Amino acid sequence: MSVIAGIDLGTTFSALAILNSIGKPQIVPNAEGERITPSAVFFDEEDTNVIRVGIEAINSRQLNPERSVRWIKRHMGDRKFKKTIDGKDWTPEEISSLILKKLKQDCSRDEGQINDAVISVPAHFDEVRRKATMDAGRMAGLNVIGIVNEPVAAALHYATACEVTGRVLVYDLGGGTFDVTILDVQNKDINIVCSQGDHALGGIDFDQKILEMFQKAYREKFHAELLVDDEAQAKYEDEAEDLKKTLSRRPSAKKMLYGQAGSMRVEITREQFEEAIAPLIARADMLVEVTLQEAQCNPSDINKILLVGGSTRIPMIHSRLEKKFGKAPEAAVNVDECVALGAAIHAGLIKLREDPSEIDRGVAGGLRDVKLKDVCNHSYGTICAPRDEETGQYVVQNSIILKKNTPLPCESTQRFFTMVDGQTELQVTITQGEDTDPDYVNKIATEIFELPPDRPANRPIKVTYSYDLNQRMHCTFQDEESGRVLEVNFCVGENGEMSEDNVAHKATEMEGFKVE
Amino acid sequence: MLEVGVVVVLAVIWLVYLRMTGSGMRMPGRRSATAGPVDRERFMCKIDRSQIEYNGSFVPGLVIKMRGQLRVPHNNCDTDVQAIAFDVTEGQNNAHPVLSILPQWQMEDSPAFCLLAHNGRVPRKISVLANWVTIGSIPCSVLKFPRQGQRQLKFVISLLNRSSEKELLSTATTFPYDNHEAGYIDLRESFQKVEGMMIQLAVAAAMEEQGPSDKGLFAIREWIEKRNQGVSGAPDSREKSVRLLAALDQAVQRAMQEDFDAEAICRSLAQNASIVDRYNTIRLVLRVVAAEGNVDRDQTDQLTRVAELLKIDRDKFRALAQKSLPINTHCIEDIRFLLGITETMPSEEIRRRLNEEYQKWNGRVTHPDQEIRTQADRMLALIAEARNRFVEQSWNVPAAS
Repeated sequence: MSVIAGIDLGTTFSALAILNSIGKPQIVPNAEGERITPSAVFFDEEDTNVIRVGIEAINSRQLNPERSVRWIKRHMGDRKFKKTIDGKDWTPEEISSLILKKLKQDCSRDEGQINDAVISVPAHFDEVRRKATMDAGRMAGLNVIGIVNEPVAAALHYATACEVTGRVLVYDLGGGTFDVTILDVQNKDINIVCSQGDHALGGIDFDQKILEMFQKAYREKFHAELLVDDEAQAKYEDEAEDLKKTLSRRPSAKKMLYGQAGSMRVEITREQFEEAIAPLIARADMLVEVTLQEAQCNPSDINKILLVGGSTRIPMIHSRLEKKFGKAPEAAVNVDECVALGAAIHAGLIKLREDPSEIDRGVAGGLRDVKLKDVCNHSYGTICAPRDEETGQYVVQNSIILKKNTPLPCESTQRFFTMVDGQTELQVTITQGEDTDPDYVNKIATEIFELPPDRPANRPIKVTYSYDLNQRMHCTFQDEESGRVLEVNFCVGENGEMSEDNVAHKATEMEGFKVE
Repeated sequence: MLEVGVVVVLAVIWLVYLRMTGSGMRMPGRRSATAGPVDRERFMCKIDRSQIEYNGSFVPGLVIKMRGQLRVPHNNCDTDVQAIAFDVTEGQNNAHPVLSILPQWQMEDSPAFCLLAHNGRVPRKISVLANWVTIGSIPCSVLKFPRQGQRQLKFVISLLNRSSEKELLSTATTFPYDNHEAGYIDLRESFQKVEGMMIQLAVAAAMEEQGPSDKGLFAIREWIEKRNQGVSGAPDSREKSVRLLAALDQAVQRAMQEDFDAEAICRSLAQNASIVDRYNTIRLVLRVVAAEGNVDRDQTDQLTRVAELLKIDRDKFRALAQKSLPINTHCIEDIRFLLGITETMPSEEIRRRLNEEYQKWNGRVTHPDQEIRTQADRMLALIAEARNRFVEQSWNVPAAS
């Protein structure tokens, strides 16, 4: 029987779930018996053949922070980020692949070899980051059959595990990222309405606020710095995270600070913590408001608020959401596990759609009634030069053709016109992003479209973008008069720097590293 | 008598011929209502002002006519007729061409007005047009004069040998014309004045205690160079460059004077400059301020005031300012300037504006360019701070529109 897995590759923790024989997802504990694994990597200096992943990496981090990596997800897709260990430059994809390799390896011990996997990503991840995540999976030896947005995965699990009907807001505040998704659920029929995300808001930002409070307290008492080196930084980052968790359970928490100028005891109350994180919460509030506006609904239209991600344990978040929506948010499913569980369901749905013969009858039966209608993750457009209404001048602009949050599959067409007499070519640029200013959007492809000669200006060019269920984008530029067509196809994983050959080569290279 | 009679008959035949072969610009069959006595020795022209049919409606126009004796090298000589016009208000020696906005009434290599039409064959070496014959009718709106007001226009009509293009005959007439629109020299002077004021304002933005900063002046010189690039190679390119650099020198002198009034310049620009130039002005000023690498509160206040006086749309100004002066160039992160909010704004308006800014900058945090990502991160932190400070904690979302 094939093993179908869903993986939540989180900023602070990761988890893996598989579909059981009746199509129900279940978490597979790691080799240490834990259901979630810290997304931390430690390159052991004593045994360079072994790379430690998970709790061992966390424990080793304070001893030698230079050889440890945490929160690598925040750098995913960043081509300039490198972690140099013993002369080797590790990319975010490679480091992430070590975490995935550990999850895969631990799962294989009890459940057999994983055949196919879906990895979750924040809803706001762009194509480059999605591609990087897929590459990481392939480097870990996984057959990555798809990518799923974390709030969608959470909602999938929620809708299949609980009886839900109505409009649901998924509030997904994880270790490093934050997504808000609104969806309509009718039993196991799930329609995503819209999704918005904040790339740099999560638990580690709350930890940072506590760290700043530690530093301030120490400075005030000793007129000296607490964080004098990387070891101290790593130690107190972990202490801050620990204290934050305590403050979710108790009104105050104490810590000992051991610095070079002396040691002191610091007590931080929940009130102080909430005051410190208020700007971050304000940011989260804005994302919720923006998402509600995008969905064209009021707080009273939301029937359920579903909490996902470890940072939603902060009591202030509960109280603010309750105040806002007039009802208590629900964490009926485990906030740390539901994304992996939903990702496994998503993997099953993909297999059922694309290769039903390969899926076990029991699994197929369990997934039969689940229906998911997803939306386009980003806006896609092209660069053009319309006249500015106020000044009458031509202004170079990004014109959105396929709007974010359009239900999939989708297609949209716009007509543009050539600008000058005798124009024989058109530079077509495919963009990703919401801005009208082209400097602020991501130009994901540029092609030259050759046009017939000797024609006056203002010849119509029909531009059609479509996006299918498999996250493949298809762009067509058609010169209406001559019928000439330029076609550009994309899918997650085609516009990054790394080619398929490179990924295969890297996967072979990564096989040589042993993870524990 | 016989000779005169023959000439008259021939002239009539030729006129009939003209009617048959006349070009589209000519109005066959139209004759002057009051044909006076013919001076057979003279080739003459005149301009009538009347309503003419143009593009399906009647508009004010100038009707160009000729009559009199035509002398050509041989019988049946094929001819063209040409009309050109000058503004001689400031004297014959200081004449300026009248321009046409339509290519069909322009000279080959310039926009100067020129009507060229096929006149047909002149039957005899000496022929006489007994009546006024219309050469062409030109809508007044097509013509551009050097200056506004009462003008003295001179029209020169020439008969040309069609095969050799040589001028056979020429005549001219002058007549008064009241031009209600700004003339092209008026516009050029006004434009140059505007450019001078733009530079003056830019120098004011570059001023430090002892005078304009080197970086600021460099930015202005760069702007001058770029502004000249559009006409690079054209005859006035160097002239323009020299003029703008002279304007810069003057602006520096002027900015050092005690009575220098930047606000007055802004008001004048708001009144005289086109909207495009007002935007160009604010872009130039932002560029000069950005050249220093940092901006303080006084400068942002002044920039806001300049934008107000130039009547620049607030949202567009903020977008320009955010781009030209990224948050890391601000000595103090001024929420009013960077986010366009004030303490006096209603909480709901602040919330709406901050949400818009949040959405805008949140979309930029994953941009491939590290500088834009960093800027977006800082802007988001500032937006969150502003929200925390200004927006009521009740956190009620307005109903969706």
